[in-house]
Amino acid sequence: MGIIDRPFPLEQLFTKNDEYSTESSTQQSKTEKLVYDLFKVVKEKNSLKTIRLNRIAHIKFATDGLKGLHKHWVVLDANKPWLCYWMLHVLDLLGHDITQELISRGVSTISKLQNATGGFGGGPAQISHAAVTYAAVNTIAILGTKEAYDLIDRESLYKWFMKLKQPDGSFIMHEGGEVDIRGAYCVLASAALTNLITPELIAGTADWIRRCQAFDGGIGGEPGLEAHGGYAFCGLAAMEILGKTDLLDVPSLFRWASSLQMQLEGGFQGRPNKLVDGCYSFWVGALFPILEIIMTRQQLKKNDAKCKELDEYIAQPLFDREALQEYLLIACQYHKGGLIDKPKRSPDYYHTCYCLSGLSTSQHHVIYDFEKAASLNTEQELNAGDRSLLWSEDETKILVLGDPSNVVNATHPIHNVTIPKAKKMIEYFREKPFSF
Amino acid sequence: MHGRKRVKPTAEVEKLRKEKEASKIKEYNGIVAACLEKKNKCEFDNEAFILTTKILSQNPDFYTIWNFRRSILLNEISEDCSEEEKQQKFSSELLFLQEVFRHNPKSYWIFNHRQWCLDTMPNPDWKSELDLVSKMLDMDARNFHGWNYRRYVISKLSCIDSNALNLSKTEFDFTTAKINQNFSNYSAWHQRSKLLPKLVEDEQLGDQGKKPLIDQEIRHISILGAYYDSQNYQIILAFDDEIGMLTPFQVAYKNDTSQLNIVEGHWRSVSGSSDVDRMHGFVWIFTLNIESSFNELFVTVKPEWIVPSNSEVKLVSNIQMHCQLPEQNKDTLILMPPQTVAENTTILSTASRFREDILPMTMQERINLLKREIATVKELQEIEPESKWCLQTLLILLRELKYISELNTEESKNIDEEVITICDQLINIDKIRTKRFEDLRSRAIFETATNNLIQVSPNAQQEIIFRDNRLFMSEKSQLPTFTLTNRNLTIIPTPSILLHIRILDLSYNKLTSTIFLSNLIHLQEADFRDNCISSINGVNNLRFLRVLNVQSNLIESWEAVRNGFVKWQGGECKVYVSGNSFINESDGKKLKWEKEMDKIEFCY
Repeated sequence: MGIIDRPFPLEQLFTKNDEYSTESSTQQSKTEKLVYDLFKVVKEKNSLKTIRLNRIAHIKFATDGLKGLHKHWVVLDANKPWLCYWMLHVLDLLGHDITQELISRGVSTISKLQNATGGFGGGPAQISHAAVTYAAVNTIAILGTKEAYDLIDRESLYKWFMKLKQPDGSFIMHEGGEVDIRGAYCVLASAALTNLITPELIAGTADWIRRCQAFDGGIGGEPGLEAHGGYAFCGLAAMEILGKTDLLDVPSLFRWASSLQMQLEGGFQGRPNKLVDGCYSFWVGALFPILEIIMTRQQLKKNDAKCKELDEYIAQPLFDREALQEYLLIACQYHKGGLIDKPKRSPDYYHTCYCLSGLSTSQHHVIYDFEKAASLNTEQELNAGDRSLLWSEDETKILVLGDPSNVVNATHPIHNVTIPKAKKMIEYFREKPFSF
Repeated sequence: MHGRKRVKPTAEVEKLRKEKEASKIKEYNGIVAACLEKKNKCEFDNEAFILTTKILSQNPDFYTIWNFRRSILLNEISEDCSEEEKQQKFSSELLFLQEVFRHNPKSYWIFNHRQWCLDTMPNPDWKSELDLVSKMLDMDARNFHGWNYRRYVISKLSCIDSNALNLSKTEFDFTTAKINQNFSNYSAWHQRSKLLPKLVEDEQLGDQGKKPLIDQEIRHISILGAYYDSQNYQIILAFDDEIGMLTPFQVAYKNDTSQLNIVEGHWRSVSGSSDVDRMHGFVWIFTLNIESSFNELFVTVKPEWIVPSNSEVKLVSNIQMHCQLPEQNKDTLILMPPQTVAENTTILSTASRFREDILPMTMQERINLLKREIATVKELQEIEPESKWCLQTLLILLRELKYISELNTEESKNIDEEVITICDQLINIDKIRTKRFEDLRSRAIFETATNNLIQVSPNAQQEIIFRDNRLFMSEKSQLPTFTLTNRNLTIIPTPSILLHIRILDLSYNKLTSTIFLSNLIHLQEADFRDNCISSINGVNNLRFLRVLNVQSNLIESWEAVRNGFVKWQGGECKVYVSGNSFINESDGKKLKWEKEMDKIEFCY
């Protein structure tokens, strides 16, 4: 579909406030105008086909970051693995070589952050934190060497995970920290990559996540909270790791997620009546590949279909992939490199990472190996990491807006590291069964 | 950006800036190192406390330091410390947090620490916390940390305040105020959705005490029809694709002692060999293993089908369809209205949506509410005739009303007509969603048109039978006929209702697929002239089909026609194909197909 080439004027897509403006609608109109001005130029010049991803500038932005940061970023002092993950994932998505030098440096940095009591801290001598640990484990996946993998002390990591576990199935973010659904996702995703999922680790978690689904279908940070794009991703991805997506009301989640794609901007908002933000290109965008496979799975089950007829069941991409690419390429690229939340904002590593992850999600059609899933007994019995292994890319369905060179590498919809990197790590730890 | 030229700082200025920054970083790192050293040595002294203050003012995300600060505080109050002193300490801690919050309104750690302080201090002042969180939400009315914190404060207040009813009410009023400030504040609407059921519950506590909430887990099963063919000992079941799956039914007869005995037999899908065919509408044939004719059969949904196997719901009363088979005419279609299957059960957990907090309401209350809402929205629509939201809401309300209330034919026809009119308006107003409204419109048109096909049986309330076939015989033919032409139909929503039809005329519509035909196993003639069909599907199993007209459609290749007949099981059949782009006008006259297709005759 896309937005710019629609057979009617762009102006028709402006939100109508029926002359009853609110603070939200005023901000919305301002944002639309910013995006509209950029889209209009492309439409008038008919230059959509030549839009380019400014790859070199974005690579420079990420590599410059690896050299040091401005003092403005002091809050990230407790989030060093996140910085590593954001920057390295950007390089990996853009196909930039992760050099031996970078790998050594990464291994050295991450190794200093591991605590003897399990897990990773945001900096040396900092206590372990679930989100930080997720970022550290993903960083290790991107580094992708045996040396990096072996850095993880799995035994203490597992024991620490169990300390975060609450009786109701939820996880706290760190000792003395808050409970929310990020904890569940970060723990489960890290455990899936490192082959640490056990029945005792996941007991009650699926049911707790189910309770986080709100009346509108979205998923909130805790039971009873307003649904939110980031939390919805954490919830759905965690349920997929657990093989329990059937506990969720999938149609209403799908409806909620698709209503978050903006009609003029093409990007996603994180909550209804909020503004578009490039980072939700991934958080909300990556809900769709997961929802697609859930729907396909349900259809297969419903019809007891044989795998040879599988093609007829594969759900089509369920969001407007071109519209999202238009937003990211036209409105979110900062001229000096890096990607941004929305026009007139400054770039940062978080937005650069998630805008590009969203770009990857919209360019590639990732699919699931249903045949293999069926052959491996019932899916419920699949080990969580095995389930992540079933994802791959359908290279016949790449959709790249603008210049063909805009294509970035395909990211794993559950782990958000490139698919080969995720698989390599899972396969490595598969050979090292749980023995403590 | 945007024409504004930035003056590049001179090398000297840049150098100065870097030096200044370097010294700041050095200073920060020094404090952090000193603080972490104190932590390692377990020195919970005032000096350490000051260090944490310095770090957290700059970096409130430094969770390790927050934890250390808590240890220091705990250490201090564990020593000889009066209640007053404790209170004093935590009060100043709360002030510090307020200061940090001002610069970082979205930090998880600030809220976490604040909750810890309040839970730890001797006399937390929850009322002033409520004032504070109101101020926070004035600064950013969508801050979900703020809303979450508000729910926490309220839960604490309701523990100490016996007048909880009042609290729900004042909270409800707070959301009203927030919504009045900004109507688009979805966070306030969400909060309201949580408070409404509480309000209702609170108010009911007086007289009705523990009146159980109405079962919210309503699972719909609608079986469109069962059709018993005594000649072949077959039962044909058609059901809504919402529950479509392999044989969810069991068939039983009553023996002399009125006990139900399961009838052995096997199920077969008639909707074609391809699974795609099976996806569209579901018709199943049950063939009895024994040769015996029944006058009465019971079709039951298998218990495991009604609720997910992992839920703890026990099914009290099986959903059951009783086929009283008339002596003469055994062609009976029994329709069952959607049933609340899980009635009278205590739901503990099911796969459906989390609905702990839906308003308790009886069906009649719901109907009244819908009618009232429809009236209100219509008033609004008179003022704003072009507003898509009014029309869209009206559409949703009308359709729900139609499905949940037992309407007579006339009433339901009126609703359908209203729905059609609204769809027509929406097709014009909301151009980017035209297709969606075209489909909805088709649904309403189809439902109105098929109302005539069925009637409520005089015997049983739940039984709906096909009207006498003779009513649908046209002048041309002595066979049951269904005609719905020139209505811009884009889909056939429930093809199973047409199960008995022999002659089907859907010409001059906007149908894009013939796949639904796979269910209409009695079909002899089908007319799809002037539609938007691009390939032929769903016809392989139509043994009696002898005429198929797809003239003037959008078929672009012979392949698209041929593939439809690859597994043809019927007899001689004529297929009219002219007016499609793949037919060369000069070809004209008769077209013969290849050898293996000798039963199919293609006509111009």
